[in-house]
Amino acid sequence: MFRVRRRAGDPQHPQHTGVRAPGARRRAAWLAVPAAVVVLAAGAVASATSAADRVRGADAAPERIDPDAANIRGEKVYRGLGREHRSGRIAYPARPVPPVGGPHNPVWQNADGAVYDRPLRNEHAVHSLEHGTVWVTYAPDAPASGVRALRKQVEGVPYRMMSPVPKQGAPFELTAWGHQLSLRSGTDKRAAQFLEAYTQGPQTPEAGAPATGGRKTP
Amino acid sequence: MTARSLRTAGPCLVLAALLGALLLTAGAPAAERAPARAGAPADDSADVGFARDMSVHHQQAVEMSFHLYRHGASERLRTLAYDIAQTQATQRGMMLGWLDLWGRSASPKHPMAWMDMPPPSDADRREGRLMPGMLSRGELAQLLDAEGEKADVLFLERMISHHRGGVHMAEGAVERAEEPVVRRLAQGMLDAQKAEIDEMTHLLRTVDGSGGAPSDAGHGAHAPAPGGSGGSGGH
Repeated sequence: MFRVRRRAGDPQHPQHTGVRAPGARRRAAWLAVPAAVVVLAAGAVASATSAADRVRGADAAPERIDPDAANIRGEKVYRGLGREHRSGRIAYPARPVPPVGGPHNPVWQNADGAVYDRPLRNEHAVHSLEHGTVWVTYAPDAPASGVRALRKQVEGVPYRMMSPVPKQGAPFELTAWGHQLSLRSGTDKRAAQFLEAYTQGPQTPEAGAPATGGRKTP
Repeated sequence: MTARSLRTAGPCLVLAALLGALLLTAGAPAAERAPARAGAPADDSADVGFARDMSVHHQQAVEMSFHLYRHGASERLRTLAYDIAQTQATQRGMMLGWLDLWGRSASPKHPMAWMDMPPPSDADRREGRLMPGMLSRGELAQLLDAEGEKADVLFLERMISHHRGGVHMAEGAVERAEEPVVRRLAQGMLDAQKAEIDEMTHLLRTVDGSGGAPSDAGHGAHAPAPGGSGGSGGH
């Protein structure tokens, strides 16, 4: 506890006789100590909660996902995506690959934790994105260990699907409606973050729509 | 508080405040993180776990039921399937709505952990069998391939065990969840599904008993099984 230093002769100097009752200093201590304890305790509790979050959180996404922002480091966000149903071939823009949204076929691609062994048709896959699916794609030269690691996170989980693509900008792309994350490594911790953030996430234009009952094959 | 005691208390408070602030910022998470809605059940609570896992469980029942509704033979069973599909789709919507309000993700991160059950094995995970009573990919494909009476029988067998898993989960929620709305819905689920298990068990027995022909009324022109339940027209 601090003691305010006073010069001798200062009427408030502790040595000064007379006016100051011994209780005054005690009263100050009684007030200051509990106040300090409360503030310190609050700080400790808050920090413990945050630290616990952080310990848990190394692989976890932010608690609140902003559907219009890049929530994961390195992620790209796309806006102004159309939603119409269209049959036949659709000319998606040259980038991004794979497409992150836009017009699509009336039939969605089944995304009940499906791992496809052949490339999908974008027109069906994009519809799955509209339903809240995270679509993981890998290039031909993607390392097998990375493919395996991602596969484990996709398999059997509703609203996730995985497929090869003939050509894309990075070994791995994780795509949700309006959001895409390019990764060199399939064991990058951001993959889990992205998957957790956007699987049936707030970016889903059509919440509640199915991941089954659509197209079964690539 | 006298001016003098303030002078002693003041610096102590300031120091304590500074230390507190330091602790707060030191513990502060990365910039993107924001807390879930105040008062929301914890991420690892039974309330959140049940809502996540039961939503997945329900969705499978809905899919099975849709198929039976369209392709099944028995009128009575198709009505039951309609009931299950409507009810469980609606309930799934309710649970996903709660998760949204609570600011919790819908993804089943640790299936059944909220019930202190072990996670699904790798094989089960691969097969989509995340919760008790769920069908594997193969079993579901088999059902979705079946038509008419074959679909009826398969549906009954699979849905009975699916419901048993559901009842187990709902019982867990009634015991462990804290939100009254969660416990209430879970109680309703387990009551309804228990009754449906009884109904389906009876129907399955009837189907087997009369040599493959479900003996419910309204089944249409169906020749009675030889040496079976006597006259046509059933009951």
